[in-house]
Amino acid sequence: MRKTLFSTIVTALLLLGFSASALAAESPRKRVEEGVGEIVELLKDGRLQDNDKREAALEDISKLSDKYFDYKYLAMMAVGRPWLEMDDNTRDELTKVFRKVLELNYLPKLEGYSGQKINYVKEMVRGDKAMVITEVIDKDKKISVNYRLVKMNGVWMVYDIIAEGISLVKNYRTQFAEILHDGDAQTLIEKLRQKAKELEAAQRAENGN
Amino acid sequence: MRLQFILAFAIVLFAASTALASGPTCPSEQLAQYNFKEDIWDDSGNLVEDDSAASMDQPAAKDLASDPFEGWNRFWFQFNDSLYYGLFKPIAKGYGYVVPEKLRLNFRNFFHNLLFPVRFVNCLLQGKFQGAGLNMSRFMVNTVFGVGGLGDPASAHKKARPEIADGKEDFGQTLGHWGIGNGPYLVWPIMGPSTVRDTAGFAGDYFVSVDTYVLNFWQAIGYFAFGRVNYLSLNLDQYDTLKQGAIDPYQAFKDAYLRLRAKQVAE
Repeated sequence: MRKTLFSTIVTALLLLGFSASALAAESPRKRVEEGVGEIVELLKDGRLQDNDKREAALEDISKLSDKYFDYKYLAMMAVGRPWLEMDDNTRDELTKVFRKVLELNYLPKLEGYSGQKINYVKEMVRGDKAMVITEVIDKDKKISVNYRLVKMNGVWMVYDIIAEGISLVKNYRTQFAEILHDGDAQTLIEKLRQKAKELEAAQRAENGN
Repeated sequence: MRLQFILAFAIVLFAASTALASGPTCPSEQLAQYNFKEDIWDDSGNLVEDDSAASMDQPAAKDLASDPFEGWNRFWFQFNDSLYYGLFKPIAKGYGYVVPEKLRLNFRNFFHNLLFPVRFVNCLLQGKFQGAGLNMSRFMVNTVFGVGGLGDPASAHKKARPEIADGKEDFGQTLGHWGIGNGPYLVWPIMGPSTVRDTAGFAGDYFVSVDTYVLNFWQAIGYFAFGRVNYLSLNLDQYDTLKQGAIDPYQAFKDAYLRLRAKQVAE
């Protein structure tokens, strides 16, 4: 009995080390593939199309995205240099409200996904930065979708999505730059908050119909 | 035996959960030391050669356009936006409701096929001889076997076609290909975002377009409007997604237009 218990623990420890290193060693491409796969799996149950279950479904996707997205890094890259002058509270607040705007705007759009094929073209890694090049095949069109990743504590996290050459981070950076030039971080947070409210109201109106 | 299995499982689960929990957190020191250098790769995945000069605050100069006519541009952007929501979107929606998608895709192919001379000439002008040849053979196949371009049998036969983008080619891209910068950003009524270079390109393409020579003024307007509505009915969400998510839609669309064009020029 003692011997078998001992071997069990050894096996478990081995597995433990194995799983931890497997998690760390996962390539950027693998991470993107896995994340996309998990989201597609979530979309299959059709809850997003069901008005009553919609909110719960969106919440699940949001939770899942935490595993693959680094929202703070995304916010930092969208803000750029002024980020360095912000204190921790401001950064957190901005990340939170920016994330909310992104989720409110983009997550419901996943509804349009209907089994489009995704080709993983290539991945590039240098130091703690990586890029994964993919193509989404929609009917007879090819849409280029690229991901930027950063290694955080040994795990690759997505922080930018580039669709047809338009980078999410850079698109917001051009908007943020002007607001931060004329105002300060609080102005930006206030604007984002207003945007979130606007999107929420629009979605509520749509669901009510 | 079962106990051992449960024990092993619990330990693995515990290990995985801690690994996951520590994974996504964002070490603040890593953020604080960040020097905001431009990315290692550009948005298409090409290595940025000179990464010492480029910083995040100064994106590559060739992608930029100045905006001295911001007042004019913002006015027409607003105008086009109202026109989109008040006129084009409802029409495209109704049209999409009545006309089956398959037929709308046929119409899209038809319009695409008719633009062949523009793509062909500009491929040649950019020295893309393979692209010109492919466009030519595709045009022939689709015109003959695709009932005047309604179908797209050429791309149905993937094996015969080398992997090359059948993308947009226009004179604005040709100018960009030979190193001519964007010039100031310009928004035109109805036509939407452009730059001085792309406006000149648009004028150039006018002379190699089929419709210039076979349609009169009102027919040309009808042709344009129908093409636009047909296109919109197939891409209804695109405009809305960018617009609704933006806190400054004008800047968002300007950025999107310039980056899309930069990508097309680079291809």
